[in-house]
Amino acid sequence: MHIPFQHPSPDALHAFALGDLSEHRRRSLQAHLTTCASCRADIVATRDILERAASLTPSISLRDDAFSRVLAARASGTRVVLPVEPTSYALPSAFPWRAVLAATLVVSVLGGLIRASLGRELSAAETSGHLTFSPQAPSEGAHVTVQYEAPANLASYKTLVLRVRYRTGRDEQYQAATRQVAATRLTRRGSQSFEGAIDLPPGVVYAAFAVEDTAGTQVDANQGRLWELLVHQGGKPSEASLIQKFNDLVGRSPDSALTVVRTRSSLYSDSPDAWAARVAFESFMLGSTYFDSAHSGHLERFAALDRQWRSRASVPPDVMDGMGNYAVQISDSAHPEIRTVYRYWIKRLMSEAVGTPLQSQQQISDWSSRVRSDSTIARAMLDSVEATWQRGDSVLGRYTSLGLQIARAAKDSAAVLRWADRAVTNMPDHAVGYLTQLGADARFRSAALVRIREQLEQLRHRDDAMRPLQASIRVDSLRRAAASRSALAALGDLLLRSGDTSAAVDTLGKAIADGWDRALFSRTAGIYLARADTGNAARTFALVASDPSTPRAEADSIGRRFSRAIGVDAWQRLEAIATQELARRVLATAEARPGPRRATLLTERRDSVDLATLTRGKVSVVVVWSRFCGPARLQLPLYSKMQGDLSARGIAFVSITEEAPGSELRDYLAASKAEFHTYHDAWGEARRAFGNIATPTYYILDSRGRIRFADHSPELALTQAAAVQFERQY
Amino acid sequence: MTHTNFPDQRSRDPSVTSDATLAALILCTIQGDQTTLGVLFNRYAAMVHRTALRLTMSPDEADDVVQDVFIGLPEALRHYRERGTFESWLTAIAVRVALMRLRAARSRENNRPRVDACATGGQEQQHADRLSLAAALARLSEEHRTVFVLKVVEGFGHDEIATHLGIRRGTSEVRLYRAIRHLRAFLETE
Repeated sequence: MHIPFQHPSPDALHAFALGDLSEHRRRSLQAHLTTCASCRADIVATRDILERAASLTPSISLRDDAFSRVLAARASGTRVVLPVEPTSYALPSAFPWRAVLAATLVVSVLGGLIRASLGRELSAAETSGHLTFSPQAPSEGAHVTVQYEAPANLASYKTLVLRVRYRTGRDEQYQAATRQVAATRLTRRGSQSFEGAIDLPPGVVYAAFAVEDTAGTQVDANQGRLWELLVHQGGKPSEASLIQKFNDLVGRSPDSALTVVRTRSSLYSDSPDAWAARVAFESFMLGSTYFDSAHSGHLERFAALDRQWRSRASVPPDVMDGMGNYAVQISDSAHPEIRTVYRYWIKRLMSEAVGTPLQSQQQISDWSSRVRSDSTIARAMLDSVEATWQRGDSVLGRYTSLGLQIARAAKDSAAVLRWADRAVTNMPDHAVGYLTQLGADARFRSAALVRIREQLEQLRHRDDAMRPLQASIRVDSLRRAAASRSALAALGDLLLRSGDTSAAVDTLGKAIADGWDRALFSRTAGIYLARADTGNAARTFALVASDPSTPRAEADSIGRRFSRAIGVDAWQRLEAIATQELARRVLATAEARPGPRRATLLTERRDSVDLATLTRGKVSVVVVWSRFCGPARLQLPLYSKMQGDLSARGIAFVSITEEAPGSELRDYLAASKAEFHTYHDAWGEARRAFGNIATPTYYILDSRGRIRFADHSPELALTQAAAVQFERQY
Repeated sequence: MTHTNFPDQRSRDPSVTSDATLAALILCTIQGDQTTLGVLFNRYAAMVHRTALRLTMSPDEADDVVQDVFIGLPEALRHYRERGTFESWLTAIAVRVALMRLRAARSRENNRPRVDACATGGQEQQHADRLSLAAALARLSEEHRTVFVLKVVEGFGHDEIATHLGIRRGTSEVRLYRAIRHLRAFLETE
């Protein structure tokens, strides 16, 4: 049958975008939309305007004296008759709605008004302003002026603080070693406008920013995205700035990091290292199938880059190193020639780039592969890493952990402690891990104990350099509390190893005094049990058993054991208390920001459904995932069981992917044995509404639709959702 | 089933409707308690101000709307019945007061200052986009802008808009579609 092709009228498309069509007309228009890209684009454009308009918040605030003017007017007898019922337009415009009535009220003197404490919940959009830089594309060391349009919650301050994380070409991935500083104060210039200026410090190629009040209570981190500056060269972001942007994003938004790694290889297509980084990250994010499909293209490019750079008279060390990296990333047994090319470039790096950081790194990595077979080499290596460190041109994290490893191999105790201290200072986020490793060796145990106690002491005090840009002081105190718990747990474990059991038990008891970490609680409960402290063991195991992320079999076995030990009734009472206590511990870190008000999703049959209808009135776990994200793909097989566990507790599970429905995705889900329903955020409305910047993210909504938690761990999601459900029921 | 992409926005803050103290605040305010009037002001003045500003596009007019609404509130509260949320009742009043001021101002002819910068909630738009959306909105004719703001921003239905403006429902729909068309044209040419 031939269906005449006719576009709907613009008005019909507008009505569709507004959700104003009748069911019948909506369905017929939707049928058209599945085949007509131009009408779809039209609707997307209209929706974009509607979305933006709907959240249009004028950046002009009320006059400061507004309320005193109201009181003064009332005191002077002014009364306004308000139109409490709809009035007809036909009313004369001279309608005397402001009528002066007799003043009968006695004005009493007002005490202070409780303005702040009664504020309503603010959505992400209401707490986010705009930061603009001039120049937007600065060169290294440039003077940059900063303009900030504050959101309502920050607009009333006289000054604000611009916090920054500067990155030089030497900084590594994630934020373990980077520090935050207050870059400058922003001074109020208009009702909501603030201004300031910074000079980019020498060597800085990338900077990420957030704005906060001077007390650090309210932070505008651009809805988690932060603002950023990339140092430019020749009209484009320098390669070093893109590398650092990638390094900054890789832990907090892998999908954005993927875009950056691709941008870098397009802008710097003759940089072999850019391609090496792209292969590595694409394989991680998109899976081995993607890698296989891209492999032949990489083989060709690798060969072309090899020819291109061999023909040059002089080759920079980073290209030689990059060719080595690219070779490592794409090598496979079917192409032995890649190995030959690798050897060629590494040989050149070692002979032509003597004294450069890349050469010494290569030297060290060669040595570290030999250090196991030839322990005499360790001493020479130790001297070399020490010299490199003193020169200060090394990459910090890689060197501190390498130095530690080599010092151990060289059996130089003083060097072990020296490098351990460097690791702790330079990678404070990983300090406890390094010290736990150090303490595993009996010779260094007491040194490790002293250092962990120092870490605990440091964690008691706020260190703004370590406070993440997006964290307010309160959120940071939660972070520090969690870090202190890990440090206490590590301390307890080391004390246990050194045979000081009673001190160990005390320490572990402090580690579990608040917060929730199932593994730690389970371990500590085991230690109580081993010491025949049945009371503490039962109380702690009851918490473990009441966590829904504890496997059923484990929880049952705990139940059986303690029912026998302390009696069924006592255990059941304990379990009831534990459920309540677990909820309290988990909810201590909950937030309560407004959830999505509207977000249209598509079902697999391409019907529209509003996210709110799926979550309304229920505690819900909404996961946003993508099959193009490595971490998300790994967690996908968990969802069928997760849905079952949640629904048994009356909690809704909503799986949302960014992709429109299609056969490829359907095949992928079938191959992954996904037995849950997936909705499609084809217009990006859900992701915008959540302020989503990374997948997978689990949003826990309470029955009022507020976002209570947003996290990346499915196990945690289950525990958090159960706590929110508990809160609702009691 | 009605397709509801843009549900009624006036009921968007559940924390207010479920607030048991609201009834007490209203009662005390009716009886002339200025402290509780102050509490209501702190809670709702910004909302009234935003609504007024969007409709009048004039900071001075918006300030006056807030003044009028809160000067008259203690007496008007006597007419408040708990159908729907307090917020939506107050928004409807703010809209009516703002529209009255617009009508009065129209006859005075207006050279009033326009809103020059607006901040929206989306994450990806650049500041420039936001400015241009506010600018485009300011360029709409008053009758188009009023319908657009009432429907899209304030979340009123066409029937309510028709009642407020004294026009037919169909006219409200037509004005809205024209407003969208003009906005898109403005934004695409900028």
